Amino acid sequence: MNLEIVLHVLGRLSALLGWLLLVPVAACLGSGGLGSPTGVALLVTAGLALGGGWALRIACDWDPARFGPGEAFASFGAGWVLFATLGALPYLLTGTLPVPLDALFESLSGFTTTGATLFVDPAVLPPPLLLWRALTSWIGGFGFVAVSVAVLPALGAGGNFLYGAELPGRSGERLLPRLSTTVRWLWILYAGFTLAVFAGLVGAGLSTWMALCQSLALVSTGGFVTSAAGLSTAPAAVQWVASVAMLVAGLNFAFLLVAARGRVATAGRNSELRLYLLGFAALVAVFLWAGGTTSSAGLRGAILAAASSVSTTGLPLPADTWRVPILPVAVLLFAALGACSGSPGGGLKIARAALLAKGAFREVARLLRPASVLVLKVDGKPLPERVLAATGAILVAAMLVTAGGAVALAFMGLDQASATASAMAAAANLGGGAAAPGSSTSWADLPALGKLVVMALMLLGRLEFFSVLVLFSRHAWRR
Amino acid sequence: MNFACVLHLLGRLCMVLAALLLLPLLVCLHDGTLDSEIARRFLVLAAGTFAGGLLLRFGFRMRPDDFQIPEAFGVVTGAWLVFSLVGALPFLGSTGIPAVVDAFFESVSGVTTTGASILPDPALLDRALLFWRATLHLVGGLGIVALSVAILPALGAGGNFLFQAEASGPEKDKLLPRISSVSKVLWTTYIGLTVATIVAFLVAGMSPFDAICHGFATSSTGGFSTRADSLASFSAAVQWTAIAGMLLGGTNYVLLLMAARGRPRALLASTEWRTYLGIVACVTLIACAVRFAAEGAPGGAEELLRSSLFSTAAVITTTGFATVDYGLWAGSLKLLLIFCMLSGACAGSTSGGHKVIRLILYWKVVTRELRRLIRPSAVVVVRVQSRVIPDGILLKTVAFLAIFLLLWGAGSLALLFAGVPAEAAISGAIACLTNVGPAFGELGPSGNYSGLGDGSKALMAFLMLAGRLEFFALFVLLSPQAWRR
Repeated sequence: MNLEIVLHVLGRLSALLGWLLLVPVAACLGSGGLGSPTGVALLVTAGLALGGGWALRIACDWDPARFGPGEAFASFGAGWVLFATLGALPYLLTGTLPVPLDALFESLSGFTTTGATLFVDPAVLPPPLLLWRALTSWIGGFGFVAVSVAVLPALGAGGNFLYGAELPGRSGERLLPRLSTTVRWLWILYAGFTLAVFAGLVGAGLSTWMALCQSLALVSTGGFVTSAAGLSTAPAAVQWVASVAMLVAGLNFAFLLVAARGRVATAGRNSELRLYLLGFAALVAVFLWAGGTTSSAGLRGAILAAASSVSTTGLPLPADTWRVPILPVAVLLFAALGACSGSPGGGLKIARAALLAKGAFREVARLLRPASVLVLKVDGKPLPERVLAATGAILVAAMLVTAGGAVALAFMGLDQASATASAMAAAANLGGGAAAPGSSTSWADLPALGKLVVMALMLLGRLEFFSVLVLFSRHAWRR
Repeated sequence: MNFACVLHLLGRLCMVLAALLLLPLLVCLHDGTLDSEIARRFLVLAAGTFAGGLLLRFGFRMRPDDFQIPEAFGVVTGAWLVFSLVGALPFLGSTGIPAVVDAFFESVSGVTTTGASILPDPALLDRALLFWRATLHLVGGLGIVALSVAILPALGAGGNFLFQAEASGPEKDKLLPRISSVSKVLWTTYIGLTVATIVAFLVAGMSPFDAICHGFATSSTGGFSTRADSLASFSAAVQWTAIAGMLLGGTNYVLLLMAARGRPRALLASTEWRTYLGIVACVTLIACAVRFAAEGAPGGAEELLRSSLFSTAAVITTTGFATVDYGLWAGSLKLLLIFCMLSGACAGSTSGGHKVIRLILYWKVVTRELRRLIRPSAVVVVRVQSRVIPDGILLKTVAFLAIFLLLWGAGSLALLFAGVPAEAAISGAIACLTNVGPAFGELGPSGNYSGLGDGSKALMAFLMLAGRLEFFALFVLLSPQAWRR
């Protein structure tokens, strides 16, 4: 692996974050002024990010010929860590989270679109910091979509071209010919979607400020909210808009792009989309069954909770939601299966789960005809064996990492149910507000080591395990 | 599928089953209760099963060419169903097991060597029935079909298919040219281990009846006991014997036989066996440390070590005996025990679960992917003990995990729907799929399965069968191709 190239990429990313930090700085102009502690903290962070980024870019040379898969994976892993570190500074410098580990937790939770928070009542945060908190998950969400839909397919890295390289329509055609064009289109789509949700929330009666923070956290499937009660006490219209926003955010953005360009029918013929909606409907039914109500308020609540779960947004829900034991289990299982591939959502991803199921039943079929060659097809198209192998490896890694995390948390004193729920919610980037669904231990009450474990799980889950694990492989460091 | 062929072979298996049904009569003979109702019942059932077997055998004809792969899966699944159903008949209407579902659950649990019981107190059951429960364990331990292949020469031709469909573990070696000789060798080892365990139990001070019943339940890694508190009220010597018996029962029987014949090197060199013992040692030591920190050692150091090792061995070999209620341990230890349940012992043993070799292969799948990501064009070969593992085996291993997770998730949700509390539902689904038996919560070592609804019991019986047959043999029958004539 070529460290210099990785550092150069990190420099560019750092500078990008520096520019993005100017958004909450601008918000300071309207609230408290640049001289306020929040303003100073944000400005210092932006300066550091821009300066450090510029220095790295100058110091380390870029050579596209030497940017291979190893460098790419290292850049993703290190990039997320860098963003989380820089993003933690505003919390730290303003003193809202005086412990460095806590600040890093909140920041990483944002950038990984987990939405696990240490703030029992986020309303105590100064408005610009609240905006920055929502922005971290918005940036993380876009970063993940761009990496999974555009960058990894372009690199042909691993089995990840599952995502968007092969769209329905003219077969074999790449989504858009060039990487930068794809990213630009995705950017327009993501920003447009955010604006639409923002407008919807304002129309439904939220204040402009709340609607801004909330829309950023919803379209990225992050799940940060702006008050202790979150959306569960919001007006009906707001809940409906939020439900639709989350449900759409869990879709494959490559397909959304196809749909946005007018080929709705093509995008609709996608088996992952159908399974996603089926899972959503099933979870709504579970919530209705457990709630024992068919009132319109009950239905609305069930839809909000189910959309929040299948998209792995993980909105904070009142603790008595988890009173019926099947609900936390079902929510965690559905979140572990995940949203659609190519969405900012977390979890295994439905396309992968479906592929694994197909692969498993192919092995069953193979027993009857040991000599026959059985080709695996998804939506009528044959899939390379390499993709199945990579997908299987992701499943195994997800299982091992989550189980290891749960055991580690249990050794720090959590009861077995809370440890398992917290590990699953972190690894699937579900979050769930101040505590994982069904957990009796809030994120804030975790011991320092436990927070580290949860942070590792969030990061591993977001980068789909291998981008992080690769860094620990001795092969990666061999020149 | 050629149904005549399947039914013909099932007829032959019924005749084996009829002979087994006569075994409890030995207990009646010893107790002098040959004229009792229970003895008559076994006699009638044996006669009926034998007659049914004869009818099937001579009513349906089989040409050697008829027996192909689909038929093998039909016979294996059919055999397990027949044994479970007929095995339930002696319990029907007996004191302690009144309901049909309960009898079926107990029988499936026995024959799949799960050891989950709906009996609050087994001691209330008739001794002949207790012996029958243990016999079900013994028969299910190494596999019904393996038994039949060993003693029925007529199955020889297709025996290989049958054996492959039933044997455990990701890779099935043909150790000897004739599969019937393989079966004979394995069964000899198995019986040898069982007899040795029984003798050791006797020496340790058990009564002959208890020694035999527990001997059957130990080497088969089943877990049915004759007492409500399992092995808790037996002496320390008995418990140490059980530990050794369980750990040996979880060892690959081929390697065990080689070691018994004076060639222990293959066993000692086996990566799987060393990993298995490593897990047992680690979990035991951690359990000792955590329990000591929490409550000290009220029974002394030996007791602490013994009960920790016993619980670990009982769970990882999927036996399911208990001397202490490990449901009361710290959450961290419970999660480690769940890991042991999932792991299981060695392939080619009588234990359930994933088997340690699969855990090793899972790890290799991950490291292979890491290497491939860094060197996309490299050809990465997976080796275990310097032997190359073909890609097909790895695909099947991941498929096994996927099906396991599917059944676990769906099973847990279904049990939760039926109103089973969360801890019992989730751990119970695992305990049945991995054939451990006792789980946690209401289904823990000090509880039993009697409080569940009929639907839950039937579902769990299905999970046990699915787990024992390692899913594939059962799922093949769901494919329409298997039924095409």
